[in-house]
Amino acid sequence: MSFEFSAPPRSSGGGAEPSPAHKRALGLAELFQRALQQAPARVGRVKGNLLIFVPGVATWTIVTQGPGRGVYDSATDEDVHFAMSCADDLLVQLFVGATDLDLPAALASGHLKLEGDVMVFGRFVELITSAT
Amino acid sequence: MPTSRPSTDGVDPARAAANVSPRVIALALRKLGLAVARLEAVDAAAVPARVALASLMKGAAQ
Repeated sequence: MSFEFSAPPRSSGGGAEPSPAHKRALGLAELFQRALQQAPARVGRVKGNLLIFVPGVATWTIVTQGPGRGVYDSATDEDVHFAMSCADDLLVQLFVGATDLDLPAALASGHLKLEGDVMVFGRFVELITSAT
Repeated sequence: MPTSRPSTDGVDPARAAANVSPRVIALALRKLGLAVARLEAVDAAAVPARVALASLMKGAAQ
């Protein structure tokens, strides 16, 4: 199993302190990787690969099938069955515990974009939560 | 439109959300996953990730 991941862009100030968006991205990437480190049979239940894009922050291709299983910090040539773009401010809203996610509004505004089989994402989230 | 909620104690919510625990991130993803799972499933063909990214970026200010 291979895991390729490099950090998303840091704050532009040139200092050592990562930006808040960078920290969020690192937290997400850590969870993605941890999920894929589970037993292959469990990972196989996802039944699909994913692309997750946080505009201006990070892009991940998450491969759950085949010899290339891993988290890649770019959009690769690997086939994906679900793709999502999620704005960083929507992540903030989720992370600080906003009571309700207004999904129709997020989709209408473009803060959230979904393509492909949403069930793949649902199964991947189940894998993540079972690993934490 | 989703926005960061205003803080009532002077703490920037975006910064507060930068230091959340893995468990909190997982719960947030679960919330998103449950919302997304309510959408109708589609039997879409798989496409290369770079193609999917280009599609997502259409119309987005980059």
